Amino acid sequence: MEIPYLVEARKDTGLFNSKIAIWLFLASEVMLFGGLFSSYIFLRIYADYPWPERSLPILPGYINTFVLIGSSITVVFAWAALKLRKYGWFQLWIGITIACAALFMALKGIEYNVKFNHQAAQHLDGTIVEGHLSYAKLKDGIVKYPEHKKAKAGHGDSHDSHDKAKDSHAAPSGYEKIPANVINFSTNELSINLKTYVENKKRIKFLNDQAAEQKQELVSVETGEPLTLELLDKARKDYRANFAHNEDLQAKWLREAWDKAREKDSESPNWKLARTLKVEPNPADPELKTVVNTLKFKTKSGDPVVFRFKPTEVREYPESAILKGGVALSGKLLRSPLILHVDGLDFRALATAAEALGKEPMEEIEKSWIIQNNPDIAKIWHAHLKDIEKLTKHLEERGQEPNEVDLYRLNWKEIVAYLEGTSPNDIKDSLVEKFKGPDYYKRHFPEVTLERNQIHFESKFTPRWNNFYAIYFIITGLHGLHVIGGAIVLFYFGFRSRKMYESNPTWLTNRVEVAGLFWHFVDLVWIFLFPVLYLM
Amino acid sequence: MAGDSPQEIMKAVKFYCIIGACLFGCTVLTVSVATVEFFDRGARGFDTFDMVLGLLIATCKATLVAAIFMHLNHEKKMIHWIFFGSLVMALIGFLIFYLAFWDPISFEGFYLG
Repeated sequence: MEIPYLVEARKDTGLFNSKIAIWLFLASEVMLFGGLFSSYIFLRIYADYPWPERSLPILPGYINTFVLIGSSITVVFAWAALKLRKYGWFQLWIGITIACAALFMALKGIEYNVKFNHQAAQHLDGTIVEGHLSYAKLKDGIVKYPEHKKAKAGHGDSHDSHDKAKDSHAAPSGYEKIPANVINFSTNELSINLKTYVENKKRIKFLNDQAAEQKQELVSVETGEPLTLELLDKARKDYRANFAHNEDLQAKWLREAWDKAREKDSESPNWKLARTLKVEPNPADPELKTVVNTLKFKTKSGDPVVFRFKPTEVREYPESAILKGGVALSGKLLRSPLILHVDGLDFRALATAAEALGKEPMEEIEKSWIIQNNPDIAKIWHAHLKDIEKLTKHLEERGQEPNEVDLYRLNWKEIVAYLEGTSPNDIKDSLVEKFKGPDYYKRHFPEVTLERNQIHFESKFTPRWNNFYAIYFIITGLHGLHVIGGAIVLFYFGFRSRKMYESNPTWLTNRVEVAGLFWHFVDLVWIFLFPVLYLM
Repeated sequence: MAGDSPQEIMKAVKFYCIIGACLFGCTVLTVSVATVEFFDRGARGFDTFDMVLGLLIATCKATLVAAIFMHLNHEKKMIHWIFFGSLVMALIGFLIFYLAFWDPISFEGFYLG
């Protein structure tokens, strides 16, 4: 059976079917992206932290806008070529459109990669430090962090910073290079929560609630016995059998108690409404098979072992650590600093907190930990204050005054310039730097060491960092998936449609028109996305 | 929208090129308004004026794409109803944040004492 109205229009609508269908689909897409834009508006208006306005490099989005607009033009050229029955030109224009889509996704991929490798940390006093992780050295399981001599305040030496930055990029022979952001924990005892291990056979997960006190060893484990999968599997099977037994018993007592209560008052209409019935498990306690909730393991010699974890894998405390998979360790948190080459400083949160307390923001920033303890940062900040005076005079002529970003946020050009003793206007960034951010091997950045107990929160520039990045990745990621989907459809029509062109060219033209409508919509979304995310 | 004759189609193609150039120009204008100090009117940096101007330019670009490239200027009324109807619903969705200021649900005795 042939599908009707693929070429000729329906009499009631005056349109061929796929046109109405694609417009209905686009209406649903408008609602989809509209919902996401609405979320962006909501998150921005009610953000309880300084919104990172205009913090994204503009060049990637700028180029991508040109690429997508260009692809919109080429897709309509492809449709026109089909209407003129020029199949070769049609394929050429579709090929250029798909190339534009590939370029768009490649640029987006580079942009995402830059963000995923960029680190941020917030100090307890609210100062936000941004940059790239420095490196530590690892040999025989021992982590060595670079030691810096504390120079006198106001005498920060940019050459020292540069040399140290160079050192931290290389590890000497015999050492392995690791990012200077690991949690080092020393322990000789770890315990595994069995309930979550049982619920998920493949991985051990942490469970917040602990069940009743153990009365009987479920699995006998010798101190120093190695942790094996067979041992865990045996514990899992025994745990399940005992848990099922306990559940059966409790269900049986519940039924018996319910029947007794009903016998006593069988005429009451409340039986239909009753929701709870208390059963005391204690009388049945001896019949319960006790469920062992944790297996504990100790090192064979009793000596502690140093574990290294990524910060996202563990919640660490001075004397205990809990892994994401559900293993708890008790021991000692060793020194686990986060060492950054700083390319961004943001004092806005600290300034806002100071104003809320009725204090002078600039005075509080001067007292901040990073300025008091890092002479390079202090030098940069004081140079910035001098530039603020000049900026204020310049803006007064325009009837404006410096905003919070001017006053409290320093970008990489300012940091590099002030460290070198020059002006940010003298820093000329290359095209690659405009796209990807500063070149860490060419530029000199101050190094900051944050001890673990000074860090309020740290993350790469991922959705985890703040909800601006969360909504940014969601919207641009979903848009990127639409670009990929549209490109796949266009590829099919461009390079797998010879037979359809020869048998029914008008049908192919209509299909290409419909695919083009979807492509234009993808461009339309980006037309709004770019200014909203990158320029506002 | 391009008719069926080759002349009409070629005329439409030239028109698409002009519209494409306008879109490129508007993109340059959008970035200039946001980055060049000369265009920074009102308060320093990003303010309501910048937001309105940026969204206005984006709306102009979107209108050109929708009207010319997506042929909305020649389409039947049904298509207009479908598309603009969803657009109105999305715009209403943008105002959801206002519910945080105005709570439409209230009843007597909600505030005790």
